[in-house]
Amino acid sequence: MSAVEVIAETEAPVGLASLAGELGFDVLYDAVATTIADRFDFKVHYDVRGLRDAYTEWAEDHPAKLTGGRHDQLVAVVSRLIATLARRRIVSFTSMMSDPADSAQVRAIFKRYPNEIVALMLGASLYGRAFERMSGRDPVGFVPPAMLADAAEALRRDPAVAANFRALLGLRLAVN
Amino acid sequence: MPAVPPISARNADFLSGAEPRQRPVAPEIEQALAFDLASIEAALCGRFADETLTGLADDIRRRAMAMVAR
Repeated sequence: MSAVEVIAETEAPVGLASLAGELGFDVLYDAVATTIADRFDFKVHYDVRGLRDAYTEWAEDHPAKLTGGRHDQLVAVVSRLIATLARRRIVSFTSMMSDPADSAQVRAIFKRYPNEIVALMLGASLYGRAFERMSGRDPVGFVPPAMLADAAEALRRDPAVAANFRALLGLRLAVN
Repeated sequence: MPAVPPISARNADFLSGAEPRQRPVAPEIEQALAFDLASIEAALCGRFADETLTGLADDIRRRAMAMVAR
């Protein structure tokens, strides 16, 4: 059975439903933001109003028409989530101490593009979880800092590039 | 940008100053993603099963950790 057939016959991903509730929306966003903060000893700051606005847009602005197979629909929903989050100022990171020289450049990327990176990583995580559930394969892997910076910059210039999040993050395309 | 403490699963309501809103899910979305009905029901009623939400958040965190640069 091909991955596409598996997707067609498998129940839809559990977890995306959590985004229907504001609490779940916050929890999942927080999971990614605090992961980054923990990794780099950052202090994370939230603009709660920005997060509220993002949730409202997400909850009210359902895509009217989703076409294609379930996988295409999943990509469309995740893309819209990324674009919705990335164009708002929701989160920022500050260092709690001087950045070590050997990682200063990487840390600077996360501090420069906090909203874009959290949006991309949340979307990719949800996509990976759903895709793995549907296909049995996890498309999400390590994302090199340069790739992440390029993706974040592209997303900042045009949120519509969220539609290409898999390519931007080099996710393994296990469908074909 | 006003700085506020990190949001956690337990204090999001407090920080936002309001009870979490639960909005109906459009039929298009429900059909397109074939949401797990139990999860949807729980979401709309604001009654998330802790273990479900915690497990999902942990999974998201694990994946994010794997993606992030060291």
